[in-house]
Amino acid sequence: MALLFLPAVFILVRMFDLQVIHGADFKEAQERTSERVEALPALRGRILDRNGNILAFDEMVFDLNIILAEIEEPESLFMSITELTGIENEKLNERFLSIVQLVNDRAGFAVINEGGVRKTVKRGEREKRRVLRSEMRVPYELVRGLSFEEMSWFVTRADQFPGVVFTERTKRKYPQGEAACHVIGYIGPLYRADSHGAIEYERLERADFFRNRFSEEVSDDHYDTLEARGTFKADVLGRTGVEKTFDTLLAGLRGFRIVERDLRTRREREIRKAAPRPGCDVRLTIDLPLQRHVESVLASARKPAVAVVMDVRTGEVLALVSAPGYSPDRLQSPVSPDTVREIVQDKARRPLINRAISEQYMLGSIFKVVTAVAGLEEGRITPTTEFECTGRFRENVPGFKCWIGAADIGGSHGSIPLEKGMAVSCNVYFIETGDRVKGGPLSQWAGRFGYGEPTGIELPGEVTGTLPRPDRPVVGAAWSDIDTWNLCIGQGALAVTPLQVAQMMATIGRGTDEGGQVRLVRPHIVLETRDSTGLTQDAQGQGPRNDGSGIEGWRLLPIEDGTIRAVRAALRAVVNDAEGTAHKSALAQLDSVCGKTSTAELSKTGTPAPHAWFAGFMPAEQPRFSFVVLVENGGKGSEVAAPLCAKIVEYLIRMR
Amino acid sequence: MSTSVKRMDWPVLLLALTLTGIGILALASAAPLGGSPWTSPVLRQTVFALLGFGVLVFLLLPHYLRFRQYAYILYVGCLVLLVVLLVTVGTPEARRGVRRWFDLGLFTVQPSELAKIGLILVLARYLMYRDNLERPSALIMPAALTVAPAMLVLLQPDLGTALIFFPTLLVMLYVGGARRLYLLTAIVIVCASVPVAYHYVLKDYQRKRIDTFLDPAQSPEGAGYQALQSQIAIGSGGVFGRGWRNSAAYGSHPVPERHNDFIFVVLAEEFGFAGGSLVVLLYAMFFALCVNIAHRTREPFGRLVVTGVLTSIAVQTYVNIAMTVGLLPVTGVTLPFVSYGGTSLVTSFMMTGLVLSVSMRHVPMFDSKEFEQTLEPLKRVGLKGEGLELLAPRLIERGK
Repeated sequence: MALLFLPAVFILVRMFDLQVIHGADFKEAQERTSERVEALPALRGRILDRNGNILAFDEMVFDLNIILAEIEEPESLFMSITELTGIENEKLNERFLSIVQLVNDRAGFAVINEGGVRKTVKRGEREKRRVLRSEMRVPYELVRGLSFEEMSWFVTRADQFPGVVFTERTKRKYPQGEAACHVIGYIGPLYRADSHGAIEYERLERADFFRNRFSEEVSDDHYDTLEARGTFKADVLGRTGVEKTFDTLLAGLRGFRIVERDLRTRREREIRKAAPRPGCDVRLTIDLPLQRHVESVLASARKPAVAVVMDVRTGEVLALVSAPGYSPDRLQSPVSPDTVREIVQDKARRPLINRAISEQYMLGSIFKVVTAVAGLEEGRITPTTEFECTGRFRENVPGFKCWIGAADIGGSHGSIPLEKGMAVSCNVYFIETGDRVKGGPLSQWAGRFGYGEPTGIELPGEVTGTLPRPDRPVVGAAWSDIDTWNLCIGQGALAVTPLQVAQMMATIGRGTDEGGQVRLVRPHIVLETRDSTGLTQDAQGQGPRNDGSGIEGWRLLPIEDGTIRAVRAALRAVVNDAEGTAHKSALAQLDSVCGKTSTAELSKTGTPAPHAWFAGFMPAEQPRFSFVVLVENGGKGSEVAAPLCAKIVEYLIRMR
Repeated sequence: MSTSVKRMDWPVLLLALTLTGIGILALASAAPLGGSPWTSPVLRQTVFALLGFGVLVFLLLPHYLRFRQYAYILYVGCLVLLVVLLVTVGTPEARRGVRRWFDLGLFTVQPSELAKIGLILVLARYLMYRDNLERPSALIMPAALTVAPAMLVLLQPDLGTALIFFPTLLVMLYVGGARRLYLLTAIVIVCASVPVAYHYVLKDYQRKRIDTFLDPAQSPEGAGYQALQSQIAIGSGGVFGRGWRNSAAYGSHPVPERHNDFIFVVLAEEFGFAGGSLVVLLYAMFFALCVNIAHRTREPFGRLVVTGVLTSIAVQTYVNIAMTVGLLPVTGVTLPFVSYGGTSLVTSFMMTGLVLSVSMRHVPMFDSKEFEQTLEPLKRVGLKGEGLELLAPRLIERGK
C-alpha cells in the first residue's frame, strides 16, 4: 500500500522544489529569453572521377538574415549591401516588404496537419499576437549566397547593423566546366509556382521527402515550424545525371540547432544541436582525361555526336560523351535568360539531351554482328559458308540491294565467306544469312544482346530503343519477309541507343571467360559510394541498377567460343583486310582494332545525310576496351566515324 | 441489475471523467489552435472520450466473469494484432523504423494498449485458483504469458509500454498468493540483468535517454533537451501558474510532444503547483478507490483484474509524471485519461469499466450470521471449522 502512494509523494516534493522554491528563477529565465530553431545545411556529397578528380562539390556560402524586432535602420543596411554586392536597392526593399508580409501571414494563419493533409486556418487575435511576437525575433533571409569575405565585412561591424544574422548554406560547384556534363547532371530548384511549381513542393512534402532528409532527432513541432517558415522551399534536387540517380545518397541529412537568444543582451546560446550529416561521395568509373580527350575529338566533328568507351572486363564506362554539352554551373538557380536561350531552348542542337542513352538511332550495318552470331549459333552458316553477291538480293525483290550494287557503283562482291562479307559489309551475305535464321530467332538474338531494353546504367532517362519482333508486330502490320531482311542489315523499325551498341561490342570483346561462359556485359558508371567517414554505402535502391550487383548477375548468352572467334576475325578483317570498310582510316595503322562501320541511311535521296557509326573493341587479342562513335547525319561511317574513333583508340593505346 | 447499479462505485467513474475533462482542457491549450472545429485535436479527444464512455457502459452489461471465460481468446487476439502490426510495412511511421499503430484513415489503433487489457485478463484467469504458487516453477507460465506481448511491443520498438507489463505481473502474482521470497528473487534477477540489457537489448536512442537522465547536463544538445525544456516549463509555472492557454511551451519555449506524452507540463505550467498537485491527488484518490474495491472483492478473478488494472494505470501515471518533472528518464508512455490519443483514452475507459463491473458484482464480505449459515451444512457433513474460510468464497459463488 505504501508502495502505491510513495511515488506520488516523491512527485509532489519534486514539483514543490521546481515550482514553489525555484519557480521564480525559472520564470525569470524563461521570460528573459527566446528560443528559435534553425536548420543546418548538409554538404552535398562530391562526385569524383575514377582517379579522384572532383567533378562536383559543395561550398559554403552565407545568407544575410534580418530580425524584424531588432533591425533599426533598414535603409542604411540596404545601402551597404548595395555598395558591397551591387544588388539593387529596390530589390532589397521588395524583399524586405515580402518578409514583413510573410511574418504577418504566419502570425495570422496557422498551417495545421490533419491526417497528412495540410490546411491553412485563421488564428485568433490573441494567438496572432503571441506568434507575431515570437516570429518578429526570427531571422528571415534578405540576401542569399554572400561570400565569406562579404559576410566577414558585416560581422566585423556588428554594432552598426543590429538584427543582422548570418546563416550558412551550401552551393554546388562544377569545376570541370562542360566535361562529363551528361554523366554528372545538374541540380535545380523545386519547380516554382504557376502550374507545376507549387505542386512539386507539396507533393514532396506530403511524401515526407524533406522530413526524410532531416536528422531523425528533429521533433514534429520543430519540423513544422521550419516548414511553415519556408525553409525547404529553397531546396535543390538532382535534376538529371548522377545528381539525379543518386540524389538521396548525395543529399545527406540536414541538422538543426536550437538557439536561445537573451532578449536584453542579444547574446545567443546554442542549447541543442544535431549536426548535419554530409552526403556520400559518388566515385564514377569515368576517366576524366580520357573523357576530355573524347570530348575534344567529337567537338572536331562539329555535329551532334556520341561516343562511349567501356572496359569490356568489368562493364565500367570510362568515357561517355554526348555532344554538344553544356555547363552544369550555368543551369543552377538563378538561371539567366541567356542560358535559357542557349541551352534550354536550342531546339536544333538540344545540348541537354544525353544522346548516348536518351536518343535512339537507326543502326545499319553494325547489326550484322547480331546476324552473324545468330547464323552461326542457329547452325544456318559456318565461317566458311559462301553466298553469291550479284549486287542485289533477289531478282524479283526490288529495294534490297547491296551497297556495291547501287546505281553509281554497279558492282558485285561475288561469292564470299563470312569474314569477307563482314569486311566489305555485304548486304546480300547477311540478308541470305538472316533469311535462313528467320525473323523470330534473329529478333530473339538481338534481344539477348540487350536491344529493345534499357542497359540499366545508373543514369536517368534511358530509353529502350525499338526491337521489331515477329511475335509482337506493330499494330496494323503483319510481319513479313521484308521485315526480316530489313532487320538483318539493321534497317527498318530497329532503333538503338549508342550505349546498347557499346554493350554488344563489349560482349563480343569480352568473349568466353575462364568459366567458359559468354555473358552480356552490363555497362555501369558508378564505382563506389562512400559516406563522409569513408565507409562504403550500399547504393541499392538508388534508381536503375544492373540486373545483379556483379558479373555473376550478367545475363548468360548461349554462344560457343568458335562463334566468338569467327565474329572477332570478321570484325578484325573490317579494319585489316585491304578491302575492309575501315581499312582506309587511320585505324588500320593502329594496333589490332576490331570493329564495324555503319552508314545508316535515313532516306534514299541522301538528305538528311546518313548517321555515321563506328563501333568495336581492341586489342584483338585479349580485348580490353569497347567503343562506339556516332555522328548524327555525319555521312559515311568509314569516312567520318572511323577516323574519329582512330583518334580515341590512339589515346587508349597511349593510356595503356 | 438495479441493485448492481446502486452498488457501483460512482466516485471511480467521476474521477475518470474529471481527469478526462482536465485532459481536454489542457489539450485546448497545447494543441495547435484554430483548426477547423471538426478535426481539431480537442474535438477528436472529446469524441474519443464519449466513445470510451460508451465502451465502458457496454462492458458493464455482461457479468465480468464472462471475460474470464474468454480471457485466453482475447489474449491470443491481442498477440495476433501485435504480430500483424510487426509484419505490416508501409504505415506512415514505418519510415522511421517505428511500427506502433494501425492507420485506419480516420483514426489509428495502437494494439500495445489493448494488449495491456489482454494480459491482465489472462493473468487473472491463470492465477485465480493457483494453490501451487508456492512453488517457484509455478511462476514460469505467468512470466511466459507476460514476456510474449512484452517482446512484441519491444520490437516495435516501444520500451516504455513493454516495461509496464512487468510490474503488473509482479503485483498480480503477489495478490495471487506467490511467495514473497520468489518475487524478491525475481526482482533481484531483473535488476541484475539491467546492465546486460543496457548493452545488448536497448537501441541507441534508448541508451542515450538513460545516459541523459543520469547526467542531464552532459548533453543539452542530445536527448536531455526535451527533459530540460519540460522542467523549465514546469518550474516557470510557479505556485498558481500562468493561467489557461498562457503556456510558453507553445511559442517562445516549445516543449516537444507537449500535447502527447508531455501534457502534464502544460497543466503544471498553466495551473502551477496548485493545479499540478491537484491532478496528482486525483490520481491518488482513483488508486485508493481501486485498492478498496480489490480489497473487498473475494472472488479471485475479479480481485486480480482490479489489481492488474490498478497497477497498470498507476505505474503508467507515475512513470509519465516522474518523467516530466525529471525523476525518471524519458520513455514514450502516455498519461492515462489525459494524454492526447484515442486508443490510450479508450483503453483507460475499458480498464475503468472492468473495475466498475467487478465492484458492482463482487461477492461482498459476508456478515458473520450469513457466514455461519453457509457453513452449517458443511459442519453437518463433519468438516471442521478450520480451513473452511478458504472454501467459503467458492461455495458461495457456486450457490449464487
